[in-house]
Amino acid sequence: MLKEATQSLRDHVDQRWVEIADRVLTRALRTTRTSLAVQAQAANGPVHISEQVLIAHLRDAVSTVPQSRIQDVVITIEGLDTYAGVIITISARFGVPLISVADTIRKLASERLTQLLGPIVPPVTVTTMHIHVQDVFQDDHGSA
Amino acid sequence: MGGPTDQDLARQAALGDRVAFAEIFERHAAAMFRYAVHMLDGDTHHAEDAVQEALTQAWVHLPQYRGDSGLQTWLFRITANCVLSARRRRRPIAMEDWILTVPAGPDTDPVIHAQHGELWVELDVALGELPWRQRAAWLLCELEGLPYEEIAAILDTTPTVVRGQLYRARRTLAARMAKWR
Repeated sequence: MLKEATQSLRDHVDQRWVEIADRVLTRALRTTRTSLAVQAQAANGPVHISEQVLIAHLRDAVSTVPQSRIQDVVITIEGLDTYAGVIITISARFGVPLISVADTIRKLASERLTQLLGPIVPPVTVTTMHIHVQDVFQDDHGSA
Repeated sequence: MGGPTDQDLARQAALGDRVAFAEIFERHAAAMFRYAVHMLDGDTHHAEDAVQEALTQAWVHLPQYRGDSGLQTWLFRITANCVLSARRRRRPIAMEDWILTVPAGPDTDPVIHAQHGELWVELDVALGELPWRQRAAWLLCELEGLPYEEIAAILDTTPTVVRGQLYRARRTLAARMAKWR
């Protein structure tokens, strides 16, 4: 009897949840994360871009590389708002040439950063962008 | 092979992937709401507020989540804290004694309740009478199927204490539901 009552209890609340779920998700995603500002160079002068926006764009750019899964992105900022570099941590598919994967990621990330930040100083180079291969995976979802 | 793991989704959501967060939401938010409703005595409005706050915190703090505990445990820990805050904010409402008096009659007959599919009402009332921690432990174990270790992590206690609370909660509920047999 207690088991039946437990199941009924679960079903009853779930009906209410269906009514409000979309609203709850939308509100949660509308919230902005605390973030540092990074100075970018627009045609008409400097602007500031949230570090979280850069991270989201870099994830989007790098996620197109099929042999890797992005794990983490850290933007290095010097002083108040000066871009100083980026560290991208990935896991790579077992057996793929890692140097080649890292170069592809660096190229895609550099292009996206240049689009977002403009002609920044220091320019995105090997020395200001680190690709860290943390793990390998064999299946389709990134676990080793 | 199944879909991405909770940890994969958490990593992607931490990097700003809203689709990944929506999948996390799909997997866990309904259970968070169930927990909140029953811990707040069936008050769906306060439960919605508490779950809204918990999910907002989850979205904001996912970049700090390092996977030391399971994602479900982490989400429930946030929910438990938000529910506790909501409970503290709730103010008792003054009312006349006669409102609390349950009239005797055919509606209190278990058979009538069963015929109307309202078995859950009796359990809900009985749950509401359990002490706070017993209720939390029972809901996480029986409604959500979590193991003792995870319940202990959510409620910031030990598995041994959880086991004791569950024993007492089950005994009380079984006695309360005995008349339905």
